[in-house]
Amino acid sequence: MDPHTVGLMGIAVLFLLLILGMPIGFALAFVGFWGISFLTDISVAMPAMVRSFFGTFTTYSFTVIPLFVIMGELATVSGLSQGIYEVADKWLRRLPGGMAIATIGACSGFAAICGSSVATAATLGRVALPEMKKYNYDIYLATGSVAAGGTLGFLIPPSIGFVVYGILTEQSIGKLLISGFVPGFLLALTYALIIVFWVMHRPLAAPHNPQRVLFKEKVLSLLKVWELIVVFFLVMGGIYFGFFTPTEAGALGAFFLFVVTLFRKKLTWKALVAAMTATTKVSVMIFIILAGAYVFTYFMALTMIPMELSMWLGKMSLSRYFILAVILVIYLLLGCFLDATAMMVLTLPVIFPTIVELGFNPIWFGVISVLMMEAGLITPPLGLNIFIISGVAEVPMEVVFKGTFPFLLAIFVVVILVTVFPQIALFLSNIMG
Amino acid sequence: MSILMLVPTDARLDLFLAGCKKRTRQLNAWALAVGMGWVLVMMCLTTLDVAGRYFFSRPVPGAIEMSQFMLAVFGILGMAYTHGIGANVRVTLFTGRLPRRPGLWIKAVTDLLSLQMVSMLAWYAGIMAVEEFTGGTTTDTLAIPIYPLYVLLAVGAFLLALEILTDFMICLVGAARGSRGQIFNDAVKG
Repeated sequence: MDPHTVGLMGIAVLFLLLILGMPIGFALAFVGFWGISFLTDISVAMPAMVRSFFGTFTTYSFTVIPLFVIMGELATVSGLSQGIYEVADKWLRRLPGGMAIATIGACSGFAAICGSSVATAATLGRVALPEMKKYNYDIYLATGSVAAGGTLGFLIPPSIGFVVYGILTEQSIGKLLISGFVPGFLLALTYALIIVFWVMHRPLAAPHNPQRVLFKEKVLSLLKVWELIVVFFLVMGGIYFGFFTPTEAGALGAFFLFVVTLFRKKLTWKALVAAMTATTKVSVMIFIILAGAYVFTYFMALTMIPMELSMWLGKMSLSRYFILAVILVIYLLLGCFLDATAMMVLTLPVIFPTIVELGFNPIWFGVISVLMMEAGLITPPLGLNIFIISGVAEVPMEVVFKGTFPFLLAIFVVVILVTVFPQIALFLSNIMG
Repeated sequence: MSILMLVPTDARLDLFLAGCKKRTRQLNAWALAVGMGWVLVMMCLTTLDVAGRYFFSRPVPGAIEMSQFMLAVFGILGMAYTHGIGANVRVTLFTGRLPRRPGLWIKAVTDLLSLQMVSMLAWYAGIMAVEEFTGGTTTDTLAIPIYPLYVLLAVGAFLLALEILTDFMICLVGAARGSRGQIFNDAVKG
C-alpha cells in the first residue's frame, strides 16, 4: 500500500478513535505508532514512540508550561483577582454596561499573569458574577462577558496557547508571546464595544451605576494591584527586552507570586497542594497530547502528506487568502468539538507547512490560530469556558452560549483586522530585543 | 459473547474491582506526591540561576540539566494521576449521548487500545533504560547518567497502564453485566 493511502487511513482511524472518546494524546500515539510500524517496521516505531514521550518530558524549553500554569494558580490563591476586579470597576463603572466592561478589563488584567483561559474565566466568574447579579445585570450579558473575557487568558501573554504553538512549529515562544499583546488589547476593546452596543440596544440589560468615583480614588486603587503590574512587567518586559527566556520569565513570575501569596498570608498548605495538583493536571494533560503529537507527526512525515499538500495548495491558482479563509472555517468548526490544545496538535502538522509555503508569516499565523482557538472556547456544543461559567453561575449552558454569541463577532473582527493589518501582531515582535 | 457470560455475577467481583481502583488511586496519589513539588524546586532553581547570572555573574552550574530532570520527575509521575481523574482531554460529544451499556463497551475498547500503547511504552522504555545503562550515556555538563530517566518513564507508564487496565476491567464487567455501582458510573464518565 502506498504511503499516501496509509496516511489517509491513519487520519480516518484517528478521527474515529476521537469520536469514540479515546483520550486525544493516546489516540495520536496509537495511530502514529501503528502507522510507523506499517510503513517501516515495529522496531522503528517502538523507539520512536519512547523517544517522543522521553523528549516531551525532558526538554528544557517545555518547563515553561508548568511554570506559566503555576503562575496562574498562585495568582488565584493570592486573591489578586478581587483587587483586579475592584480596580477595573472603579475605572470603568460609569460606562454603559460598566460592570460588564469592568469584567472584561479585569479578565485582561488577570490574563496578563495567567496563561489559561479556563482559570481566568473561573476566577473572575466567581468575583464578577455575584456583583453583576447584585446590580440586576441581564444574565446573558453577565455570563457572556465573563466567558468571553476568559478567552483573553489564551491570547494575552503569558499564554499557554502560544507556548504550545511555538513548541509544535519551532517558532520563537518569546516572539509569539509578545505578538499576542496588541491583538489581546484590541480584542478586549472590541469586547467592550460589543457591550456598549448591547446596552445601547437594550438599556435594561445593564442598569446604570450612578455612583461617582473620584480620580484620586481611581489612582489609589491601582496600589491594590501593584503586584500584578510588577509581575507583568517582570515577565513580559524581561522577554521583550531579551533579559530572560520565556522559561526564566515564567520561573521569576511564579517565584514573585509565590512570595506575594506568602506575604498576603494566603499560602496555606492546602492551597499550595491544590495549586501544585492543578499544575500537574494541566501540564501533564498538555505533555501527553504533545508526546502523542510527536509520534503522529513522525508518521505523517513518513506519508509525505503534509509536504505534498502544502506544495499542491501552493501551486493552485487560488488566492492564498481564500485558502486561509478555508483553514479558518475548519478551525471554527473544529473548535466546536475539540479542546484548543488538541486542535492545534491535530491541525498544525498538516496545516503549518501549507501556511509557510503560501508565504504567510509563521508568528502572525500563531496569533490568528490562537484567536480562532479562543472562538472554540465559547462555541457550542463544547466550549470549555461555557461549561465553567455555567457551573459558576448555576445557569443552563444555553444561557451562556446565547450570552457569548455576540462576542464571537468581536473575535472575527479582530481576526480580519490582524489579517488585513498584520503589523498589529508583528510590530512589537519585530523590534524586540 | 459466550465468554462474557462466564463473568461472575456475585458481589465479590464488584468488591475486587473497587479494591483495584482504590489501590491504583493510592499508587497514583503517592506518585503525584513525589512528583508535583518539583515544579516549585524548578521555579526556585531557575530564579537562583537568573539572579546568580545578573547579580553575581555566576549562574548555577548545570541548572538546565537539573531542570530537565525535575521536569521529568514532575511530569512522568503525574501521568497516571492525570489520567485517573479524567483530565486527559477526549471528545465526549458522541459517547456522552450513548446509553450506559454501549458507552461502557466503547470505553472498554478505547481503554484496551490505550492499554496496548501504554504497555508497549513501559516495556520498551525499560529496554532503553538497560541500553542507556550499558552505553553509559550521561548529560554534558554534570555527567548525570541518563538511564534513570528511562527507568522513571517505564515506571510512570507502568502506573498509567495499571490505571487503564483497572478502568478496562471495570468497563468490561460493567458492560457485560450491566452493573450499576459507583465505580461503573465513574468508569463510563472516564
